[in-house]
Amino acid sequence: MCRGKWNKQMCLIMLLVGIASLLYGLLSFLIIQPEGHSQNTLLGMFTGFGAGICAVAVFRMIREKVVSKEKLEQEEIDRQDERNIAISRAAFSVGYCVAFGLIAVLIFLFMGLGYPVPSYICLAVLYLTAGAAFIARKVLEKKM
Amino acid sequence: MLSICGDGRERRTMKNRLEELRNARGIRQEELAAALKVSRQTISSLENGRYNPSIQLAFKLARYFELMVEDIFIYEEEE
Repeated sequence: MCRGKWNKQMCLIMLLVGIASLLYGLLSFLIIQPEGHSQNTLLGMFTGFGAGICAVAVFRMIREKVVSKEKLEQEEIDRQDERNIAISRAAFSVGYCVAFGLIAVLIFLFMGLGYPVPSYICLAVLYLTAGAAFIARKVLEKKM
Repeated sequence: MLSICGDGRERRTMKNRLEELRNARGIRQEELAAALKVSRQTISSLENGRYNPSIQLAFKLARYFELMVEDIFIYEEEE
């Protein structure tokens, strides 16, 4: 089935990304042996992210083998169901609006607390998010 | 009744005869959902008027019941 093939390829990509991240985190830690706390944390994050992605990929691969074909087909129908897609889009829209508002609040909060750099980063994120939404709208306007 | 349609916008004045047609033919929601490759919840939401289908699903339903789309869905202009 198309879905099975797609899932297999997706799992393989996830596994490769996970292994790369895991190896980068571990080997960098062993070879460089960083002294700073933030460097240690960053490498830990790479290791954790890699391990997590690998675990998800392996879980999905095993699940595809174990779970019955009927259940997988039903899950595929649910995934492509137009009502579910409409609900997800509506939920994402709400999430986007909330995230946008929160970032705007953070800009003022960081500046008020005396952290200008995180405030500028938040401002950049806000502009990028708005820019991405604007570009997506223009592209979709041409397509629809 | 407030409902979400296929494109995510809100509509208030779409009614349908889906439940009536389904019951008349003795079909279960699960069977209809399987035939149209949608979830059972979608059929349930359509019947309750909580969700308005996309044009594709409306045509699929019409073809399934061998009727015109207008025979299943009734659109009433809002004042």
